[in-house]
Amino acid sequence: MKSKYLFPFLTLLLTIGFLSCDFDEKNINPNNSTTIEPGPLLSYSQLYTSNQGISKRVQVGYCMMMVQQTASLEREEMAGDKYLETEMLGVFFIESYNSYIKNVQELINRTQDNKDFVNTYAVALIWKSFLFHRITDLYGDIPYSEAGNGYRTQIYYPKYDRQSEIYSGMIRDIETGLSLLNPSAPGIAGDIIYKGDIEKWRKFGNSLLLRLGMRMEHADPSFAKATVQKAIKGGVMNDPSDICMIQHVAGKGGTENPLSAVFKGHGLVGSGTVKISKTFMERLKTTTDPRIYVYAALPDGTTDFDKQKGLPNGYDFLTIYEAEPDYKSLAEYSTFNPTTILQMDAPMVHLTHAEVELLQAEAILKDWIDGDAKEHYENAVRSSMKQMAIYGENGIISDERIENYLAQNLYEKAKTLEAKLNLIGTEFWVATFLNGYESYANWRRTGYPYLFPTLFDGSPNKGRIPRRFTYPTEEYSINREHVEEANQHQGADALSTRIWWDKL
Amino acid sequence: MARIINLCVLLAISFSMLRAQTNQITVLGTVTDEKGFPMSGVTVQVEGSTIGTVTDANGNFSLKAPRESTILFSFVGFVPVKRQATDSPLQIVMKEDMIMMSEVVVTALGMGREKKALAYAVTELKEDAFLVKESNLAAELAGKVSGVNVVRPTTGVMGSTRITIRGNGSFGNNQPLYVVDGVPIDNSNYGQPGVWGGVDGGDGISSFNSDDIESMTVLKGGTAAALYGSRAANGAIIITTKRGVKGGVNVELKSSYTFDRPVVKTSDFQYEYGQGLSGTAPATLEMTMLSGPASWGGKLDGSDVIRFDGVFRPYVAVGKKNFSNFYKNAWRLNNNLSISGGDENVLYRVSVGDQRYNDLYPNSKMGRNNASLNLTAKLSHGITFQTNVIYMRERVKNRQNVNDYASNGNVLLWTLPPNIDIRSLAPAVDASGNELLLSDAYVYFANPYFIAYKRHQEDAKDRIFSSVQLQYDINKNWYLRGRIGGDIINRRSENILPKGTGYYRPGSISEGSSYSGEVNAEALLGFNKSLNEAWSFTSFVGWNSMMAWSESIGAYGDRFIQPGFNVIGNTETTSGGKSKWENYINSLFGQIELSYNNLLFLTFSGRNDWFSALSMKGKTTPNHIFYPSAGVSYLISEAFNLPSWLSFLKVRGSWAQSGDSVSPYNLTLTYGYGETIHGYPTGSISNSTIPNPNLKPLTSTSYEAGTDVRFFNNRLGIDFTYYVRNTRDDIVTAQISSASGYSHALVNAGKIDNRGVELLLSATPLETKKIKWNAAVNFSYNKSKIVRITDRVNSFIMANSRTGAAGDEGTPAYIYQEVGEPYGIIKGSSYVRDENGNIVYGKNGLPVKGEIKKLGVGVHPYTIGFGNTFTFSRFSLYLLVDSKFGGSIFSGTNDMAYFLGTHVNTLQGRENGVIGKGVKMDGTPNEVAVPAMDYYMYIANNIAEEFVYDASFIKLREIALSYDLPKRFIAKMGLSQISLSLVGRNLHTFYSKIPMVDPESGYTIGNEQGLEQWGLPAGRNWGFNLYIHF
Repeated sequence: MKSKYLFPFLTLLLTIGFLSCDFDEKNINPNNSTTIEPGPLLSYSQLYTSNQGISKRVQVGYCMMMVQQTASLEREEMAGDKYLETEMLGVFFIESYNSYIKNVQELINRTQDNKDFVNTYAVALIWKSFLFHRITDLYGDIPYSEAGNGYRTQIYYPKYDRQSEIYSGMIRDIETGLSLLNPSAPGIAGDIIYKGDIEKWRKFGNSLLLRLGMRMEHADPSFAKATVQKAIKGGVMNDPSDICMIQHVAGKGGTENPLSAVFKGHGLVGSGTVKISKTFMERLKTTTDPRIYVYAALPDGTTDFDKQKGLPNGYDFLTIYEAEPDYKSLAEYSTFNPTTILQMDAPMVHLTHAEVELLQAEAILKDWIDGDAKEHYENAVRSSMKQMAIYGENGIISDERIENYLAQNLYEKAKTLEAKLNLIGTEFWVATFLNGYESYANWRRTGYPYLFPTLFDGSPNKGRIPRRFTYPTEEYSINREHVEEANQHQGADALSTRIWWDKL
Repeated sequence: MARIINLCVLLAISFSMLRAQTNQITVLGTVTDEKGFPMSGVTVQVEGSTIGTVTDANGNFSLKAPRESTILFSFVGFVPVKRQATDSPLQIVMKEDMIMMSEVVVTALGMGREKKALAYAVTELKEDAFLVKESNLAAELAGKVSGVNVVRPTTGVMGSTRITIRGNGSFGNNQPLYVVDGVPIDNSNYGQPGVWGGVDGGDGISSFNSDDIESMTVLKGGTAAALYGSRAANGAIIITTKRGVKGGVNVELKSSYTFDRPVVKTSDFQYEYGQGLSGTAPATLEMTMLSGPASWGGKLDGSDVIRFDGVFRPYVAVGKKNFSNFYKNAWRLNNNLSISGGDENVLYRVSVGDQRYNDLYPNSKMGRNNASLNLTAKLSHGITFQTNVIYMRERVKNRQNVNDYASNGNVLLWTLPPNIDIRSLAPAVDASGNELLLSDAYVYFANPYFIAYKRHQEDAKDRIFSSVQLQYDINKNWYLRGRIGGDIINRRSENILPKGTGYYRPGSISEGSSYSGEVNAEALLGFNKSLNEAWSFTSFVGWNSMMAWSESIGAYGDRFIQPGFNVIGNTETTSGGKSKWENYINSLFGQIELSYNNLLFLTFSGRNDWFSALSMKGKTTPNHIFYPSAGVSYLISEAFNLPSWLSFLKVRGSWAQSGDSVSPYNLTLTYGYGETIHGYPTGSISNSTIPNPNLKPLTSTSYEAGTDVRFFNNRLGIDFTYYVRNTRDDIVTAQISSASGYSHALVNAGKIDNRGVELLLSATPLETKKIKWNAAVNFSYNKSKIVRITDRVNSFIMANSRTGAAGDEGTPAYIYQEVGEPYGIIKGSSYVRDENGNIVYGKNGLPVKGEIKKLGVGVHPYTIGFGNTFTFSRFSLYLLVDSKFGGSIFSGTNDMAYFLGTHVNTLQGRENGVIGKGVKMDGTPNEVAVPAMDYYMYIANNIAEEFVYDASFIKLREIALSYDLPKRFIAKMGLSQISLSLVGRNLHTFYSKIPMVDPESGYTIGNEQGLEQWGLPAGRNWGFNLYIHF
């Protein structure tokens, strides 16, 4: 080859090289979409408010254990029974932001300026507040105003907002959401809770306002009262069917009830890891509460009233003999009823009509709103028991049993205001069984029912029911100045520190 | 007039040559090496003419040559021999050229270059370095090359190997580029165990067979590998496969049969106290169940104690041989047959190999087949055609889970109470077909027999690696080379947790299939010219286009319906999915080498890479980067007259920039869809790491300076290198606050410095007619330092131990990256000590738990290899001692042995309690006795420092005693050579400070070195090699 051929050859080479340098199309991810409609984001944020690990170790393992609805002889796995500190305390924080908070925020980003999605945006604002209130109720001050939007805002290290400000923010968002709900605008996209029923969302929004308002009763009484009154005026849930829940579907891992799935997958009924607490069982038994048949069963499936037995809180396999000298086997203690609440398609309940009635009864007793507290209390009991039908045939409680229960006249027997509030708080505790987050928050606010802290020797928090969760340790290496700012304001990052609204 | 005289002289010469032609004789003879082995392919040439031939497979030649002419014998790497042509047969013995002045090594892009011209350190391993085989080719480098750190985790024979050259330069990839016959291979890893366990899925380099390898050149770091641009930040390993040689047909058979035995320090286990809690043997079956794997029972006194199966048996130490009773029958069988040969125009080599491995873990095995063809043909018009095709087939059964509990059958071997014989778990399942557990309360302590025979894992890999090259030598100065090569891999895998598995009774199954690979096309135009007598010039420019891809499909079934029928269709819920990626890099590159009088060499190179992974519509930052390099080599011994004892002296220096690629699809946010519920599809952001539209590849800048000195006629040689390697813009997958919605963000922020020295000392301390001793010591020291992580983050946790994870038992230890510290430090909670170093105890008699602090470095800074070859007549003895120093390891195995009371250290204080040696808060000696179980469980759960050990070691890595059968003996059989070798690998550890486990234990080839828990025991391997040359 002579050099006269060289130039054309080189040119050819270079051309081949540069032609294939048009790479823009080659870097488009073939596995995932680069855009998304709002509907699926809302469906995601609703469905994945819980997952298996969180359900097992936070919802049951901490919350329900701490308020003695459940008990366990395990240590780390069910750490709330003995007030032990595990990484799970921080995991709830991490997973909340990484899953539903991130996606509900993206939903807001994608709907806030879009007229076609005004109802979806309204629901997103209300639902975001629901999701955030759970997190802040567990930790106190948390990242809120700068949270969950790292890609768009480039804020990688969000500041911690004060819980008082978070409450104002959530209430403001709910009110904005309620004001935007518009039956004549295009419907809600992807709503698996109410299937797009705007009226039900209005009731839910107001009921959530009622919950948040009551929560602030000691911390900011005037704002609390105003919020509660606004909620009642706006119209809260008034029928068991107003319940806010996720109806799960059996057959696919992602749509099953996460608690049922984790019980089944890990064989928790057989292993005896989770038991009904002796405290809770005694309440059900002394009041012959028909909900005992729905909630409890022995591991072999027996639901006989007399055979049900609760496990005392605060013991492990070695010390259980101190409390139960005749202890033989965990098989003798009641656990969750697999034929009702542990069905794979069992719904996960977030806010009920019964709760709303109880909160109203309480507000009436406090003279915040008008009405008949007894009537609301009885509505609550009826609603809660009727609501058990959501767990299928074995959940149905007959009217006769309900009336028999009410015929005990528990309300009349509670003579003092204190006794009445205790009854209402205790009923709340029974009615919100399984929704450990709410049972725990309401117990901290009201102090009802009276619980005796456990005295497990191996626990650094022996004798003190925790008042909050501690932050994830990774925040101290990554977002140190902000988390320390929160600690300076709120108090030491300890289980015993009380959050802003916890002033009892 | 002058012209006429010239013409006359020319005529005279011609005539004389004509006359000589008529006076020709046939010269016969044999060429052998110093050991007497026939040498084939030796060029036999009449000096000053083009008349010549090559020796055949038996070293014989026959050549018509003018009487009284000089015959020249030459062969690469040997001193040329000259002889007068005679009628009587010639016996030529060729000696290896120790000085190897003209030694040619294969460098970047497959370019053969004279070693003396190189401006950087390079190590080349020849065939004889691979005498003692390993199941992973890369692991055979251990101890042989300075600056190279080889890590072989304890994950079984089918596991991966981690190679780092000159330290860890990145928080991302630190492994070198592997190039086979000029074409980069796909060294993808198919999964590594992590904190939550898993199996080592193997890597790409492991499938190549060392029997097919001619040489391996280690291009250490950026300067040597700069021509590979964005892929060369971690150096490159250039592998050249064997080709045919001219002359006759060579048929070679290589066989090796070796055995493995587990190496466990049983003296670090206690055999005095049995299963139980709080110092008492279990009185009831329920207490036995509750005790599970805990060895906190009573003294093994021979009394009858109830066992997990409900039977009372004497309480004695029957478990002393648990390891050897369980891990047995491990062997490796390797056979390789090759046929090679060629003539002036065609060279060929065909080889087939069969390797079988029975791993230490029962029913865990691997089969591997290699078939390769290598063909070189000289076509007309100066065109050379070269191709190789390697087919690799791997079938693996039951890779073992390590580190975590789940499906890890090794756990009970390390933790079983001494009064239980492992063989009592041999039925694997109970009467109802469920996993036979030591205790139903400890479902995660898997039955090792259940794992071996009921749980099922398998994978199958079929792979074609091939390249085709055409070279056109246009004229004396110009050549053109084109090459296309690809590595295409198909892999299927299956994982079954059968119904009845202890920790997951419903069972599950997953199937996966992946199709992946890498194709490179390259064109290169070369130009070489002598400018004048002093200066000459070699150069080339080229273009390369790389495409890599992976496409994988997975299917998953959960909860079997009918037991024993393990298919996806037989499950209650099924799911599946597919994912793929593609990545492209286009490059232009070039190199110029100037040489002055063959004693001064200057080399400059440059490469520009364009990345698909950095391309996006509307992106404002560039998608390409330029990587330059420059180097100088100066042969002082050629330039000046030096004393005769100084045989050779060269100095060299170089500078280069290289990089590491970016993975695709990291520039924008994407979304994925999940389950549909009530007709509503769920969708969410799929990124957990915030993408970065301004990302660029990291840059690694390296400098090195070195010298190569040889003394006393090359009896002693020193090769010394000092290098600096600075990584900038390292892509940090920086952990960010989860409150941002994401766990990480991609940022170009990291700065990591590495510097170090490499020293190779080679000597021939003894050389007589009969005995020769060659020795070589390679030493390296690498100092790494994290300079910056991000402007916000000064440290992050790269990995944490299984112990203490998620609040489980044991104490958490961490691998940290921390500014100012070396790469990958081990951190954990420590003892609190007073100013005299005494451990401080609390009122309860337990040591006070101290802060989380640095407890060691996970990567050894020092590596030393010491190789020896003794040759005495037909015997040769090869010994390789390998050692590493300065690194530490956190041993979860030891931690859990404290927790469960199987560690020998937990014997102290069993009867009367432990009084920890140290002081109370007030400084007076501690005298509080704590029950042994409480004490050691506390230590196990709180003091990481106790379980961080010096991981330094000295091992007899390889040994081979070879014997060549006498020639007269084998000639009768019509063979050329038979060699028999006794070989051994890891036969002895001279030095180790870590109890229970091997100092080289680990569960991953990832960056998180320095953690260990419940792997397979280390193995001792020995057996025989047989080599027959027909």
